Amino acid sequence: MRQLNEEETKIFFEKLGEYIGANIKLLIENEEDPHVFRLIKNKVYYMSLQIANWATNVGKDELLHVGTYFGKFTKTKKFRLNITCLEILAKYAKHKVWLKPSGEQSYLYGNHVIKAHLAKMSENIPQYANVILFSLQENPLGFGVASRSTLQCKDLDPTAVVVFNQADLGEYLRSEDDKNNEK
Amino acid sequence: MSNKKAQFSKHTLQLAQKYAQQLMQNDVIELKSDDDKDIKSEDEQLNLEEDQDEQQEQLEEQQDDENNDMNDEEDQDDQDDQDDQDNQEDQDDQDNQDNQEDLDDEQNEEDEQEIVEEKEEPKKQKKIKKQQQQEVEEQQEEQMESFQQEEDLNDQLFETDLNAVMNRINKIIEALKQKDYGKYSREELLNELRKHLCTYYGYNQDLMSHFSSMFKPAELVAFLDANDAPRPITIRVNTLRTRRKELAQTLVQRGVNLDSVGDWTKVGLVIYESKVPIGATPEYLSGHYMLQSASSFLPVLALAPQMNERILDMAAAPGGKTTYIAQLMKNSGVIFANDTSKDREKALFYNLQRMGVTNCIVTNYDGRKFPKVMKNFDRVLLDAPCTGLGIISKDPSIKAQKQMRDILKHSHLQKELLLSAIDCCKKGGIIVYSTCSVSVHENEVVLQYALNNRHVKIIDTGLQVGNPGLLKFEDKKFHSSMNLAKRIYPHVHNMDGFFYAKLKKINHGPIKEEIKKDVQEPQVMTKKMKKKQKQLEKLRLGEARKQSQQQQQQQ
Repeated sequence: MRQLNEEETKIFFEKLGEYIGANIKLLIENEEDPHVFRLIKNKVYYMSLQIANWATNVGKDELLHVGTYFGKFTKTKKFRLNITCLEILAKYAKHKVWLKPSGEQSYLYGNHVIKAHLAKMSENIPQYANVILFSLQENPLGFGVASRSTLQCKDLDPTAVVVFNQADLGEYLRSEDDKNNEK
Repeated sequence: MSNKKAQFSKHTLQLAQKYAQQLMQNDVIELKSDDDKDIKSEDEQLNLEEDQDEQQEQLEEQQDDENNDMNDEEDQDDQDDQDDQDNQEDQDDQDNQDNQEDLDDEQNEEDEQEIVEEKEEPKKQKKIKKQQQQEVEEQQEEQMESFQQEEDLNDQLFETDLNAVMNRINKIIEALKQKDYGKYSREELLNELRKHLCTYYGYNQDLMSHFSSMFKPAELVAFLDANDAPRPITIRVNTLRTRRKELAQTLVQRGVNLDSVGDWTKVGLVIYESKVPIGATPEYLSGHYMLQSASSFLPVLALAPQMNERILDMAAAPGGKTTYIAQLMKNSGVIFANDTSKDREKALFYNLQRMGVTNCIVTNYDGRKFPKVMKNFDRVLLDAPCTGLGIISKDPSIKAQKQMRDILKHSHLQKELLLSAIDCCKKGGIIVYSTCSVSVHENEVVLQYALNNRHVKIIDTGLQVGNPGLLKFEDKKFHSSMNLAKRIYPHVHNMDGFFYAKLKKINHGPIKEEIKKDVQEPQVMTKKMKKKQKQLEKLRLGEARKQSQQQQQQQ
């Protein structure tokens, strides 16, 4: 486990900034309970400093996970966010989209969001901006990319895709299935 | 119409009579075969119960009438008759005669018998009649037992007919309850019971003999029955994300029929019925609850983690208990979730992430080596790997696969793990030991081993759920505080079979350290020493030779 180097930090924060913007500051600068990002192999985790210190006692090969998993660096040095960080993304989200109850199921099965399932969305979302999806009870469901801006969405027909699915909570089940299939 | 009815009833009567005759004949034949085999034992039976013998003889006489071919047996019957006459003289004549008259009818229906009796002797002997009825019932039971006791014949029947096996199991249990063993000893009956339970429930002999040494016969059957029935599905509400009332409301809206588990937990819900798959609702995916058996709540409640403590979960996967600990600590402090298996790590990881646990460090050590990594934990939970004898309803393959050898193997590992867990804990800290097995070897024996080797004591779990731990088992006796440990049985509590105990560490270090070192170290050293000694000897020899050569040269 180690801290992220400059290059990694830059790539990671750029990606994260697309979802939560300047709120990244709030993640790092918390004086009462300082939190840090740490790299384990090529995976990025977010944890309180206290826990990070405890984790240093564990051997390199034996340490598997600490705190909240954010995502991993690909071999081409890009960063890919994982659904596990959804709670934090949702807390600081820049752009939000709410789904109708009828559309939740379809989205959680890994489908894109169509206009008919859209309940509401925050104002001024530009085209291809990263958004966080919520149910109407304010439960975060996943994140994705808006295919149109807020204004353009009004004139779309009901079956058109509004948000491309990047990750949704259904992945918890699907990834476990993948694991079983690998066996 | 009335004619038709009458005809019909006549017809049915005839059929019934025929059937009754057939039944009679069957009984007679079975009884007869009794006599073929157990000629010698009849004398014993005579001594045991006179009435029984009379009954049998009568039946034999019938047989003789029906089957004239069986000439050999007539001699025996004659003998028996003589014996009978002797016996009859001892008793009231009337009673016996009544008995003999009624016996044939008894086998079909008691009612008829009553009527007959009433007609024959309306005035005199009402009290005696009651006695007779009792005797008759006893006789019938004895008859059944006498059926049971021919092992070879019945075994052939039983292999094909499970109902017959069950009937027989019930009869043996009743016989054992009333301590009425017939001509067989208690042990023989128990052996037979075990054998039949194995065939009926599909267990291997090893497990069955272990279970039967733990439970009384009637309880044993209840336990085995409970193992075949599914347990209710229970979920645990994740208070990090939601509250029980809210979750219950949303689930009810989705068409789930649920109720709270019990008074002892504020986070458990039982699912009776559900229109949606309970493991794939949006609430499940958002980590609002976790599928977890109710008995798995108990060790965590016993552990009673406090805010800002450092806690070790030694065998954490798949993370049900770990997430519960985090929930009770409200994500403060540190939890070390360790598991030996890397395969199970993924499930643990996803559960932790889904439930929003942020204070957890997942490690992959062998639990036995953990004290070398870190010590002085405030609390340690050891949910030890086990044979799973408590969760047979979940995994029926255990019935056939697990044997005594596996139990002892696990027991050995558990002893090592528990000592290791105790070593990880700080002085005055709490260790909770739990397994999902009901076997004594994996529970009380392991605890006793820890008591013998480490400075710990068993303390009250603070929970009312569960039966007390056993104080003795077979030839073993356990410490008097063992009754503070708790056992959960599927047939008593309708939860998965479980065991949990709370230990308090009093002092560091093993007991009798010096003695052990004396024993162990020389054994280890001798192997190394032998090599060194040999090398040294060689060197010495070489030097000696050189010296002698030099001396020779000098000379």
